[in-house]
Amino acid sequence: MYDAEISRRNPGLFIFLIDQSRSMIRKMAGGSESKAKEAADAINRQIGELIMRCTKNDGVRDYFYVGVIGYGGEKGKASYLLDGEVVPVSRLAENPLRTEKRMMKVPDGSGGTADVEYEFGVWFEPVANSDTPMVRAMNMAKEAIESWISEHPSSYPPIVINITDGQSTDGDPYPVAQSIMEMETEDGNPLIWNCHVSTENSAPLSFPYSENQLPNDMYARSLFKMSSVLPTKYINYAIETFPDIKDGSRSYVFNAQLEQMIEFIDIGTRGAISSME
Amino acid sequence: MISVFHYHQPKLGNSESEYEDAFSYDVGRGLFAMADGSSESVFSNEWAKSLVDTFVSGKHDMKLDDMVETALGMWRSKLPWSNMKWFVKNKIARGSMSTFLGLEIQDGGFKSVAVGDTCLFIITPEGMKSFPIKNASEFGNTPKLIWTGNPLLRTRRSVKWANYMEGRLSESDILIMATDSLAHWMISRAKQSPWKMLIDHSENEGELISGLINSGEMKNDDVTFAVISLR
Repeated sequence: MYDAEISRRNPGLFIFLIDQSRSMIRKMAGGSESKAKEAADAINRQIGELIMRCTKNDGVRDYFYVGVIGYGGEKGKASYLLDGEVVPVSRLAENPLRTEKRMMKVPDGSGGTADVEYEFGVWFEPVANSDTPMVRAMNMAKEAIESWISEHPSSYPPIVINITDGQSTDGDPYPVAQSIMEMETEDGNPLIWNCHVSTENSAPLSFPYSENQLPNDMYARSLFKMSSVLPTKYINYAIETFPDIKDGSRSYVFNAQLEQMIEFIDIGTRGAISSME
Repeated sequence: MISVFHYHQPKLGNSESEYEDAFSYDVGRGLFAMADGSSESVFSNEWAKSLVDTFVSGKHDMKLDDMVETALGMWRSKLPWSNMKWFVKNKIARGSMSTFLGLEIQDGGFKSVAVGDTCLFIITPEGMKSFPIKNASEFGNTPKLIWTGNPLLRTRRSVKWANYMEGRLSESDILIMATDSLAHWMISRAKQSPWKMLIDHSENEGELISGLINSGEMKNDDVTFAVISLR
């Protein structure tokens, strides 16, 4: 399970869900920008990383397809934010909205790191506008995954990463999330990763294993239940940074500050990236 | 009198343009080099080619760091900077990587230098010795590699992890150079004289290699080997 080789013949799928509700305008704990901007940056950076991994001399090979679904940009609505629904990385590489010059750290040749300028791709802009129709967004993800699995029955299981700061306003997303987690490819069930981002500097809780670790908050418990139990492979990735992680831990972070959100997305994507042929 | 027979094929399912190993030789100078460019980096096929061509030019003897400096100039000159896409430019900032195996045969003896898991096999009447890897368990997903350094910063580390070997040769000895998947197969079957299969299939080596890959005996990867005999 979770060890299918990802190749051009058997590509992998990532679906990012991003909360565009009004409260995402507030500054993110541990960051310098709004939650909407930090979340958009994190997903744009991850798309850039996927493209980097798939770049060869002759261009970008389609090892991955990506969908980004925003919800709450308009009241009660969810929509795909990329140019297309589920888009191959080669098309993303050729069609960013724009690129921005930023700095990244690279090895300097003597054991340290140095900052060099690079082009940061932007595929969608941050939006913080209305409510939190998470059920609608999950339903869109479910439809995309159903059709993906029928076309790619032996693929690495699709991964959904949901970034939100609030409670669903169109009902309980748990049933649809559960139906996604019950689908399967020959290599396992799709994984849902939920990242609750925080405005406050309250203590984050990454990869909880029991509802009892959470505050007495219906919302936190609902997100916990709709997060996958981490496969062993992912526990091994996460244990470097989170030594308390154990069997039964969920792919969930509560009260994530910027640092936890970035780590969370990194761990959530690493299993599939490491399965590239 | 040295004679060479060599063969390569890309990973099954890939095209020749996706092949990232390299082999070069100069029988007159007794110089042979093989390299396996890392598929994790871009232009590693050019890096592998630059390394083997520089070694075989014979200007650096076994001085690896000097050779790498010269190869770097060759590699940089091959990069298509002028029409490079933004995402390729991002990746090239991380440099290219390759294994390397150099071999010099002279005056009845040989010297070899290796970084990574491209192997030299010395076949004598007593059997087969391998260099630098001796046991199949030493093959892994992270072989030692020679790095170009960052072409934007123009910095790189000196080469650590180089292995050196030298020895005497007799006329009946055979030397085989091979990249990792074939090298792994040979070391795994060391007791069954695997080199004989290579020599016996010198007319249809593609069939042999593809058969070994399809039967699961050998990892599907770019394959390159050279059989060098001394008479």
